[in-house]
Amino acid sequence: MIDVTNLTKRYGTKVAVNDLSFSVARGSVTGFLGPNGSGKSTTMRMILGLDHPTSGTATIGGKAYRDARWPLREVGALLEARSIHPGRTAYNHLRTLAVANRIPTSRVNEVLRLVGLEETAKKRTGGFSLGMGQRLGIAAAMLGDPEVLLFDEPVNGLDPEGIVWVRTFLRSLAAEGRTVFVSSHLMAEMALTADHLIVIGQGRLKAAMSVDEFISTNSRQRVRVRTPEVDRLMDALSGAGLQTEADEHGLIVYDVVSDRIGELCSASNITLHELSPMVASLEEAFMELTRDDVEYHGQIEDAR
Amino acid sequence: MTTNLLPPPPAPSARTIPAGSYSLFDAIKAEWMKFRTVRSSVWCLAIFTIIMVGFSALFCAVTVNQWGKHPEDVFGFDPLTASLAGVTMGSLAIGVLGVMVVSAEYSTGSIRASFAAIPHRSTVMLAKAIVLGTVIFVTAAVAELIAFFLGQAILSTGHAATLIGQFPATHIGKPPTVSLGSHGVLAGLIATDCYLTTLALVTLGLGILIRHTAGAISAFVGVLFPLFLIVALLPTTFKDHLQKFLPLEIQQTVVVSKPVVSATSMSMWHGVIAMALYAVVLVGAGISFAVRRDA
Repeated sequence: MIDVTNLTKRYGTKVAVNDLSFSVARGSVTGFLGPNGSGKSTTMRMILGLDHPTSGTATIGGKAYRDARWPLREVGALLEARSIHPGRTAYNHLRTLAVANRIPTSRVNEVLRLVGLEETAKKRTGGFSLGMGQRLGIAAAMLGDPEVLLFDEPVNGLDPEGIVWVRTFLRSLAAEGRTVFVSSHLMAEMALTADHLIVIGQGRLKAAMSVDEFISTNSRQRVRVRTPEVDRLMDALSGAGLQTEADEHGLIVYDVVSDRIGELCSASNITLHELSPMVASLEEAFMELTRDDVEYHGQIEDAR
Repeated sequence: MTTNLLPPPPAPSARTIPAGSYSLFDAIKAEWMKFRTVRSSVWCLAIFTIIMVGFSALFCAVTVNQWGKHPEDVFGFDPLTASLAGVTMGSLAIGVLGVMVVSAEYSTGSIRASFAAIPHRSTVMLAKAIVLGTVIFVTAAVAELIAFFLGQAILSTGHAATLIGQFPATHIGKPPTVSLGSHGVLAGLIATDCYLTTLALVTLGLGILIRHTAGAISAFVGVLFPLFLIVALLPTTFKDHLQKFLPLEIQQTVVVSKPVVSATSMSMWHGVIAMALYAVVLVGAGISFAVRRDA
């Protein structure tokens, strides 16, 4: 549904998005993953026609966003939480959007109920917490009941209950056959929410695959073995049907627990210098993938 | 994980997408709703009206009180101008409003929500101009009329006077008043309304171009006042050619019932046309910038 082709965005000499191409399928949640400053928000703004690409195209359902007949009924978007005038009430904020696309006012009350903001709907949004702002943003995205939804960091500022709510909500939207494209810098969150992943670093595509694929390639059980008798060990391991790979320190053995290697070595009288299980979390796998691309090393992540 | 947090499936009430597409009319309705759902716009209009009425009362009361004491206040006295004494100060409230209508959206980021709903930015900005122009035209008309009738009522309480310090002593009668039907009064009121409306659009254009509230208001006040002083310092040959194009100078020829006869100023309607041109140029430039820049 969403097609990004050779999308590039330069700000002066800085390249925010670099020749990015991917597509987002309908009926599933696609996670858009990358460290802060990797170009996720810029890409999303370009998909929505808010920022102009330096080159390349972004289309939704085959056409540019600006050519939508009733934009809010076709595409819903949660941008940064604070795209709201603080002096206007939540109810009036949604009404101004509804009026622009001839969405009935009754729908405003429906989406307020949907995100649990009925109680505070008549309060000015200036006093809203970050979490309430996010809920209002989600309500605005759902206003036109659109087929395609874009959420930029939707769980930012939400409490644990809110995070679970967003997760289930996004999954239910995809289950209804909608296209759900959601950005995050948290791999663990995406592993629970998304079906597909698009990983970027410094504006470049790093990976595009299903979450299952990502998990199976990145969370295989591995054991590192160091031994002076490499050839004998390799024979013993391949005799047992195990897959091995040499690295600078020794051997990496896949899909096995360390106990089994110890037993094999003992049976063949092989001296071991090291036998250590390696556990890589998804978060580590993601960091490994984007290691060279993190823009703000060691800085405290800015609260948006 | 608790499953009772699962929200109900979104109701399909808005699912049937109507034929056609959004239009300028939808944008105008949205802008009108935006305009009246923030306090700042209501405040600016209220302050403008209070200034217009208050200055009229003050200026006319002082005129009545001081009538005859200073010859320069008597000769060339225009009762319409006296009752519209609040136009200069009122312009400030209108300018702030014109800027804020758009700069507040840029500074809060809500412009992105506006452009997401209506991706054609020229439509959004044109709708803003139409809503602002209409609101100011109506509000200024009401404020002018209240100020006018109040001012004339106060002037009519004046007493006849004899110019003192003159020889021979000149009897000048009571302070003059005018009615709506008097020659030049309706034209002056309408021209003043047009002047204030176009001024609001000029500031809207500044707001679209500059985006920041403080910056755009500074530009507006800077154009209205210091430019006037700078031009006043120029040698006469340049001053006479440039001064008449300044908004404040145009105001002097517009807020009157008796035409200002001067070789260096524009006529009333030429002044209004000049203001309209400024508005068209600034809003037009603003729209072309808004379309090209990132939101």
